[in-house]
Amino acid sequence: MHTELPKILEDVVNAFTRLPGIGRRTALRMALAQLKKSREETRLMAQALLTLAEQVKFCRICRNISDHEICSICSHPKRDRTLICIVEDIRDIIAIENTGQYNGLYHVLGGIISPVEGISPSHLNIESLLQRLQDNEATEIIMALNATMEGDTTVFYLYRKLQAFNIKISTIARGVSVGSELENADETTLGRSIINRLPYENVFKK
Amino acid sequence: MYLRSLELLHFKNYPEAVFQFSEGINCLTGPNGSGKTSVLDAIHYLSLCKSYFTATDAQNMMRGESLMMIKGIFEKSGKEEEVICHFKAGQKKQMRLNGKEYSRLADHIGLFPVVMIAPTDHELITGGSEERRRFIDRIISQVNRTYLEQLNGYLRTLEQRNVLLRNAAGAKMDFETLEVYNQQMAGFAGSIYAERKKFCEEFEKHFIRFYDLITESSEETGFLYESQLHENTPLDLLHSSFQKDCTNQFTTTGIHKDDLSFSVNGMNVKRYGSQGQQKSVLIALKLAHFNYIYEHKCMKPIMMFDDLFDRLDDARVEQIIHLVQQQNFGQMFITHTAEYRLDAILNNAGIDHSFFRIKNGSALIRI
Ligand SMILES: [Zn+2]
Repeated sequence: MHTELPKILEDVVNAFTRLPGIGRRTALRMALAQLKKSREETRLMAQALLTLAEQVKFCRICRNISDHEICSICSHPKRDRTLICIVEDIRDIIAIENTGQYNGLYHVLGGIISPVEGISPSHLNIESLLQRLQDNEATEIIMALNATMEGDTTVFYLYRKLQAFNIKISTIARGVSVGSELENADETTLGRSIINRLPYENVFKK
Repeated sequence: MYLRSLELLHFKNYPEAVFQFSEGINCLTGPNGSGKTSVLDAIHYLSLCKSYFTATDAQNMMRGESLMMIKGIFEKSGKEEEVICHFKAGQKKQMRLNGKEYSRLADHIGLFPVVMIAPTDHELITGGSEERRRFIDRIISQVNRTYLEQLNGYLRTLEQRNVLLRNAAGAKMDFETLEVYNQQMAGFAGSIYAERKKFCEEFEKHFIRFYDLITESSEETGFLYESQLHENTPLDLLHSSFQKDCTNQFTTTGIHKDDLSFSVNGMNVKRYGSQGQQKSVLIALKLAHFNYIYEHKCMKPIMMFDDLFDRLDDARVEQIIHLVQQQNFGQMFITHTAEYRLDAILNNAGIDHSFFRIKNGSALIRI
């Protein structure tokens, strides 16, 4: 796209291209589609975005995005409180919930360790996890992070941190995609790998 | 395994061309810039899904065109196999085997191996250590799939660790994260080192044998794998270089510093070797590459000599031609500007060969 757009359109296209996976061509298509909608519809959409930014809440316990102080999973009376599954973000929770094979709680890290992308452990919800384990009935932590090198780094980092607690640490089979690779995640495989989770072994220490 | 025919469409300076090759020696002659080397590069594409010479596919498309295609018919264990490489501007390159498209190009690599020798390979002897690491990494990953995964894992961890070191400059070092990277890198480094060591021990024997054959044992050659891991465990190495890494703000030790060194009569070839010795080392490395693949995959790679006479006199060229003939190498491609010189040497040696006279992106055949 070499032709200059009218500024009013250019601004919207620029805003959309900041979203992951959206190039200029798609952004322009989205902007034009939005223009065809009623003004009221656009107002509602803009309002939803604004509300998300201004009023987003994170569950006080698991740090998942939530409408309330405590999310519906953490406040559910039937969930098994001895299990905590560590995930990167809400997409992983959706994927694991969809398998119907897991009845424990979660803890959302909010990312994985990657200095290249400017993410260090202090940016992640690790302190809150350690806090949570201080006064909690959890007996097992299940690591469900993606099988990338960064995922491995994060799992290993947490493993070292969790040595201070008398707690069982297990992991889903490596090579199984979780929610942040949702398009590759296969429910049956993911479900099975949670049931047949393995005790975490430090593969690096030789 | 050999390449029976090759079809080009909008590849470099070929608008359209069809070649029928012989199972033995195929000579491509013509003036500089006529497109001899392009034919070799097209064959390289069919084998490794990419150019030997350029970094991007677009550079190899004929000017003003938006689509290029390379099609080869191989004969492998009595079966005909069609390989197509298809590239359209702005789109992903496609590789097809017998009509079926690959979802991962990596799955194709190793099925139709080639070994190329080109004048630019001189860098392998005289250039930086990364050239020599790339050389052995390419060969090992052709016979060992997990090697490449380990290597990529190592390089990604290395990148992360380097950023961590850089971020810590003037600030507080995050020791906990650093140690995680140390252990992760050490794990990768340990298995990469073991593979490289095993490879070099075996490769050295091939290399020395071929150098002796090329030079008729007139000189003694040496092949050495240099690695800081010879004396240290990967983790100890990272721990002991910690201060230095902090000062330099990058990882100063590890398998990413590995190198190969070659010697002739005890003298380092990179530093003190004559042009002829350097070229002989290069050819011995490539012939050893051929043999290594042959032994591990039970398949003879296609040999391609781009400008065989580069930095070699006629006697040495004749010696090499004799050698590859006696050692029963498979299909071969040789390019050269002077047809009569090549013809004379091959005739002298009594070797059957086909000639292709290349003229501005078209081929005339003479048997
Ligand atoms: Zn919650």
